[in-house]
Amino acid sequence: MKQLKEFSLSAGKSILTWKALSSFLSLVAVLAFFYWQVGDILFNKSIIRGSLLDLGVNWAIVAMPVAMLMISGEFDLSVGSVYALAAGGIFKLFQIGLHPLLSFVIIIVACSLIGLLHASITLKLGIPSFITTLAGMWFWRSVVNAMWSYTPTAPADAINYFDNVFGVRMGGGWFYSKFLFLIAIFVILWIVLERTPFGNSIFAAGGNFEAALARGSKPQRTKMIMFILTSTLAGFAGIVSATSAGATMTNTAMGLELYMIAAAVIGGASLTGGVGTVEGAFIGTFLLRYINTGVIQMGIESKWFQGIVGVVLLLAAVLNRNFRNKVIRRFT
Amino acid sequence: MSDNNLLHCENIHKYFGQVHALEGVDFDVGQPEVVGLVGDNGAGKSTLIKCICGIFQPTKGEIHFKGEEKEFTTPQESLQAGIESIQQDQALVEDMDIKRNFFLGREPKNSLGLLDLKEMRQASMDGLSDMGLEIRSPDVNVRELSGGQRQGIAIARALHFNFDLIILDEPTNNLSIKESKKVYEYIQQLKQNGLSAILISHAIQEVYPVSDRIVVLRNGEKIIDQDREEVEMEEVEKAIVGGEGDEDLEHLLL
Repeated sequence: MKQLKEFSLSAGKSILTWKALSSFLSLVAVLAFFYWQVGDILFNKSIIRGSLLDLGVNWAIVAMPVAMLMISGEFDLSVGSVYALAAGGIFKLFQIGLHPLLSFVIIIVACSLIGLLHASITLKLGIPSFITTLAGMWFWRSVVNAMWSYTPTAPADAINYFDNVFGVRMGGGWFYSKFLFLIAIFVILWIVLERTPFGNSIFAAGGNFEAALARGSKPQRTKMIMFILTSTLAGFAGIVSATSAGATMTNTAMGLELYMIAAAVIGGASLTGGVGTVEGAFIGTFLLRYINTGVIQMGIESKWFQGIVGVVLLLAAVLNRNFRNKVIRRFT
Repeated sequence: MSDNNLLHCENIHKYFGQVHALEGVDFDVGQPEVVGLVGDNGAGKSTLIKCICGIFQPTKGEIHFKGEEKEFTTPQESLQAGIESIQQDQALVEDMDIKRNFFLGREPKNSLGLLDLKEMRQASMDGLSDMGLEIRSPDVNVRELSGGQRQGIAIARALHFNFDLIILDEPTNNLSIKESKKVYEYIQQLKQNGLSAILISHAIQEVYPVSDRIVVLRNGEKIIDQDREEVEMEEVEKAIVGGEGDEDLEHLLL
């Protein structure tokens, strides 16, 4: 009995001090609200698979590294453009007739080099990453536009090559196989951030750069790796998106960068660095997707999506700032 | 000064362009010994310390550490040799908890290459309680701690990693009297463990209570280097700003 009490006490403590708690509560609140409004229409197979877990998976693959990059004290506003560039770029390579796998490798390497470029300009020239990646956002979008007039096309067999990997219906039709990739990426990134020395250096780089430098924790290198990882996963998500949907457009993922920052902030990340979680960004992404799906099902004009996202973002920020700190002070 | 001093700096010169910031300073730290290094702004004390920490390289002169001549070209080299410099605002990451701060840059790993959190908790708590620093949990964020507790953690960390020489920049700046006393106790602990420390300040009052020896720099030159018992606090105070001039001023004012 005593053990049970101790266990529930420590379990309660870990839940209350969980850094992504407010994003989780927000998700529950939004789910409850939509259930109350439209009932279980939002919880059937085709909605979950088609609306929530399709675009949601692509987004979450980007949101998690964006959150980690923010923890290390940097932004990446170019993820939407890199995502579209990877999607359009791999279609171009399919058209030329390169092997799908080779095309994949080329695009992934190219995206990581874009990350390296953004990192080098930011860190070596001392330009804030907000500026560097804003420039990148416009530049890479222009490259996509220059490459395609409007809608990139590609031979179906090359697209199917990947659709057979990412787009297989699984779990009795509840999700596509790309969801498993997302889970794998989530687990790896979570372990990297929370359980490795490198993760410690991510928090330190954004929390107190000078202290990290003085302790020999190599914050410059850490930020460099995070820029590369973010661009690489944005590119990966773009490939997954294009090949599982069978299509992409030149304006694909326009504005994605701000949704990713919103997801990270809802998940507890701070704009000044040093604070945040991978699981929070994960939850935050699906929260955004669910709001989108919900407003459509409720029959509200979908233009209200952005308005609701704005309100939820503010609520989450207030919760994180005022509620969380008090709870943590009380329970650690 | 004897050869078996921990740190021996000989005839250190440092130019910044035409500015002669250090004009042939000899500076020694024994083992164990607490040296108070004082001087006004621009006296050269931080230039000297930066030479010892590998942030600057002296234009001329030699630095010996543990009996060997050293040329530190980066802070990492001086850190690896066993010199730890603690700047109040650069010591800890506020949004990280105590255990993660304690091991930042030197994290213990388990067989999978992951953080050994158990060891981090245990060792950081042991380190703190050895110094008489009572903190309820190693999972507390540094942001929640007072200035004195933060200094305590930085010092406990230096003790844990067996540094030979710890440099504390204005160790009790912005601290209450009670907290300052605590920090002096931590510094005494360092010495009892056989470690040495340099305390840097522009105010002699800050370092006098715990220093074994007082060194005063003025305009890039060493003007006082004496055991604390042999020197009065007022004398040092006058030396820091340039005694004679002030006396004249006092006469005029009186």
